Amino acid sequence: MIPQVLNGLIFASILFLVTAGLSIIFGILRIVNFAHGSFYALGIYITYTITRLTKNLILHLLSPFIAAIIVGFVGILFEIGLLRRIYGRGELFELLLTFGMIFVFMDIFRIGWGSMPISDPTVTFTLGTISIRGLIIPIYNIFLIVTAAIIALVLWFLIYKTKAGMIIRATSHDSEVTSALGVNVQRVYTLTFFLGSFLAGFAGGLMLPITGGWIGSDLEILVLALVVLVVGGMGSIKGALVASILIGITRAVGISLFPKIELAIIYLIMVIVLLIKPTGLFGGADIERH
Amino acid sequence: MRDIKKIVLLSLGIVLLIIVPFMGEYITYLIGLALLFGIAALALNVLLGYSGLLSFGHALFFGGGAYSVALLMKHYGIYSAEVLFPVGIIFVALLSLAVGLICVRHTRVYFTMLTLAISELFYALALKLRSITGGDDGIRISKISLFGYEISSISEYYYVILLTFFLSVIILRTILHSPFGLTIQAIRDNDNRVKFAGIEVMKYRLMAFVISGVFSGIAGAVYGPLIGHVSPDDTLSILLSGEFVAMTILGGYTTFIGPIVGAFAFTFLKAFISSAIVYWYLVFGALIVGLVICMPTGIVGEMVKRMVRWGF
Repeated sequence: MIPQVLNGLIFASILFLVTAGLSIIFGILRIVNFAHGSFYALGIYITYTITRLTKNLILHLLSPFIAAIIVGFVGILFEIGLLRRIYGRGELFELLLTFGMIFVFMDIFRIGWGSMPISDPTVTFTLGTISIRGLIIPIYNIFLIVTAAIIALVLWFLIYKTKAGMIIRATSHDSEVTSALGVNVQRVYTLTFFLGSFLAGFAGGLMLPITGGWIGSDLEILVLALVVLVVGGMGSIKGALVASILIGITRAVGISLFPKIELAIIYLIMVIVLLIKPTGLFGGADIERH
Repeated sequence: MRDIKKIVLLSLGIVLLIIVPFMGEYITYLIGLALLFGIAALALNVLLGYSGLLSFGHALFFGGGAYSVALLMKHYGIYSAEVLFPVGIIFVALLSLAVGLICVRHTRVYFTMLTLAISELFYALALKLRSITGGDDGIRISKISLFGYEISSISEYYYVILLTFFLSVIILRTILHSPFGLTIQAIRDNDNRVKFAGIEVMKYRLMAFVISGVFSGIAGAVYGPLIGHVSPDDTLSILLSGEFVAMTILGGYTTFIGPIVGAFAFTFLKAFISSAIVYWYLVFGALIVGLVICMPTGIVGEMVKRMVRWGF
């Protein structure tokens, strides 16, 4: 059971990073960014390109971070160039615009990196494994979980303990009043988009040595992240954390117990949670108001 | 005067649709496909345009119709359309009732996310329960008959599609122009006021949901035999759900016929562009983005606007 739980934690870490980005963007812009999975896949592909260039271990470990910054800037371009033109026109168009970007990115991946799946597990081999009580664990897996935990802490600190975080929370609560208080809300939107895309790209980069990337990895993670988002409560980072762990571990354990229908079990959890608590685990009264 | 113009245009359209099989097999196939997508997009618009609810999971009902037909063929050896289609419709009606009960408690983006996630549940099941559904290979549909007569060519099947299309359009139009249709539009515009008028908003939303699901299911049920094949990616995927939304917006979700126009435009664009270049998705994605930014009311909405400007 322990290996499954460990695998589940890896998956949960990645799900958390992706969903946290999705949730922050939703919390502030009130947009569910369907292109979020594409940013994740872009993170995988860019990390792959970086690791092709060098054999240096440190650079390999840093490559997800570098890729994430690039993805963050792609997010900024997307927000400024396209999304900003349609604010206020209703969520139908915002959803459809981000949905259209899924298709655009799919072909960009095909053009840039080909249709075949990519993978680069070099870093896993270089780091090797450790054995804890007879259990062999790749060091990279531990690195991944620890990194994700650090990012979660930094995120929490950023949002709840800094002035920038206060502005973000204020904008999420009431963007009009925040704007009236002299905050450049437009810039908050752009920065939020950077942060959200950064998190997706980072998660993608971290997964390169484990799953690699393929056309369709964008949709797979998007759908799972949407499930986590709904189960945890839309816009809640805490909800994203709890739901990622729940879904991540369920999936890993489910794969070994019910190898055929582990995905169905995840969706079943979602339906049950929503039947009992329609706003998700940590979605407060906020939802009905908006 | 305007009525006469309308009648002339309409009968011209009907005549054109009837003579389609004389224009060659490929065109017949494409128009048959467009007609089915047209039904699905119209059905989606019962929710999107008339109820103000954006479903991103309508492939579930389309695929539900397609799979109920295909599964009956595969496991029970039934090939008669007069049995297959009604059973498929009943199945989809029950399915959309169950899904609707969960989804209509929410509105806006929460509704959207729920429809999407629940449709993914069934996508995953269709993909994984290989022994029943054939997994990602799907199910092959070899033949179909109608009242004992085996339909052997695409031209013959085209008339089944055309009949389904006309019936669906007439029924949907009647429903949407009835007091029921007006009520769901009123709920879309201001649900509180409608509540104060003593109308059970949730019940009406649920009815709209089931109607929408059933007609998507009808399109799906008829789709399988046209393509000759039913697979998760073709009939149940999130991309198809999104394509339905895109067709509806492309044609114009503020009008009744918009979705049909959108479905035709989509089907022909897809056929021609993907035969010319490999990167159809890139073009399609850019088209959606451009549409949302520059022409949000769609083709029909834009035409109406122009006509008003030119004094028609």
